[in-house]
Amino acid sequence: MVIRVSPNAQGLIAKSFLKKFEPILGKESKTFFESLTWFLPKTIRVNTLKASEQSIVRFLQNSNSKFEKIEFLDHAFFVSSNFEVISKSLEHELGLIQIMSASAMIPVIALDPKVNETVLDLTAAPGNKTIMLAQFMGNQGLLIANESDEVRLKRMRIHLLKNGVTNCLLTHQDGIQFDVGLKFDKILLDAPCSSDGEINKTINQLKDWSQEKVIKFQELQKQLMVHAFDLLKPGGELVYSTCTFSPEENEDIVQFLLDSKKDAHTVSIKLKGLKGTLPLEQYNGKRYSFEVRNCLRIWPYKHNLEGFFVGKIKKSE
Amino acid sequence: MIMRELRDLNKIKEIRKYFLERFGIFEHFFANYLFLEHFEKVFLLYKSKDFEKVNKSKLFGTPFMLLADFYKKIPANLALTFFKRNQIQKNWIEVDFVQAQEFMKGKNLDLKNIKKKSSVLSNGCVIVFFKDFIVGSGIMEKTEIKLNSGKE
Repeated sequence: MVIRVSPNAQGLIAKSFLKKFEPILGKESKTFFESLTWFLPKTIRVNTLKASEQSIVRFLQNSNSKFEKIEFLDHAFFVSSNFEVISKSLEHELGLIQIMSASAMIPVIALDPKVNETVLDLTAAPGNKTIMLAQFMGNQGLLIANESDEVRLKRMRIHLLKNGVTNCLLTHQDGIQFDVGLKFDKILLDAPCSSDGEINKTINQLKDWSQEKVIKFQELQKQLMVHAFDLLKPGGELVYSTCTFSPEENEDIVQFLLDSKKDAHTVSIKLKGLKGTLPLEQYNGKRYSFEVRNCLRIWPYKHNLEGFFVGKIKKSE
Repeated sequence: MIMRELRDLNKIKEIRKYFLERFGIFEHFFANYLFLEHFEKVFLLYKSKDFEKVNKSKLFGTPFMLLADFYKKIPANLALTFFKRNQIQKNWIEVDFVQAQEFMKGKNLDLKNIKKKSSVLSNGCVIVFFKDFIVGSGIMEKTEIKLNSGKE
């Protein structure tokens, strides 16, 4: 169910971006650049805190939308027609369905929080993943959602309320200094990034892409990653994710943590029916350690989904 | 912003009594939840073993607010989404799709156009359903129901 346009993407993309990714992807780079202008399928998720999958299927049928269950994600659907009807529906307004990309759901699936665990979403706004975390936790246990931007935090609070989240406390702290006196069973670090994986939404962003921006984010991501790891209980698990293609913000960050913390180990992420997700083995003359291969990459040209990187790390007991 | 656990049992009783008397929500429904307090606002949070350890001075606010204003006794609109249909016995009305949309935009409802309502229905706060889902709450005065504009 892929709807594609075939524009000449090249003119829209910064030369520095092309120069960077051509050697990384080799023969596949042409398809990759073209894929950045594809219209990717829209996706929705049933908010299981408030509605059953059955009731949402009935709603989709009644709205005359074409939809298809996403094989590797529970309670999620691709929607290929009448999407506007859904996004403006009362069901969406009431928080019965979430509109979020399929790729953005993967970090929560990878973290797999359980009922009665203590969980942290370190960089939580706009809150869609926080709502998903609460769904996995059955609205029980303790979920802390932190956001450093006060305006985004206030918006997120309303969003969580509307979506029926009742096990969550909000904090307004700088992520690299976050402290509420607790250690956590599970932590989601969906890090601020250069966001080029979401480029299908706004291709114009790629005109202004710069390596300097990537390096700026990398510094922040390293600090966030190490601090998040320190906040884990022994045996705790951390999921690191970004929506960027740059290895500096992805494999490099996981490798940096593995090199910095001897009690950090990666864990493989299993998603039924999703293939071709191996991360890069090397970049810029540097070969990543074997453990980095447990991470996962989503590419629009391979998966018809927004670009994403997800790594799962466990702290030794 | 310091939020603390509400330990005033009389206040907790008063809140539970309000929900029981006004909507028929049984007191045991609240058994798994902590009542948190910030000024005159009262919040609910699922009880967890780690809550005691949290440095409360670091909290910004909890998503679920039980009452917008304790003394006015008007539940915050969004907070009501917390409840399930079968928990609410009194002072509810059910609206159709068009009515729900208009109500959410701020248009008043006329009671004579409401097809389904609870047998007990009196002036004051009423819960508005669309199908099985809570749209929000309204303030009923005689035959008119206006959207509860209490700030969340």
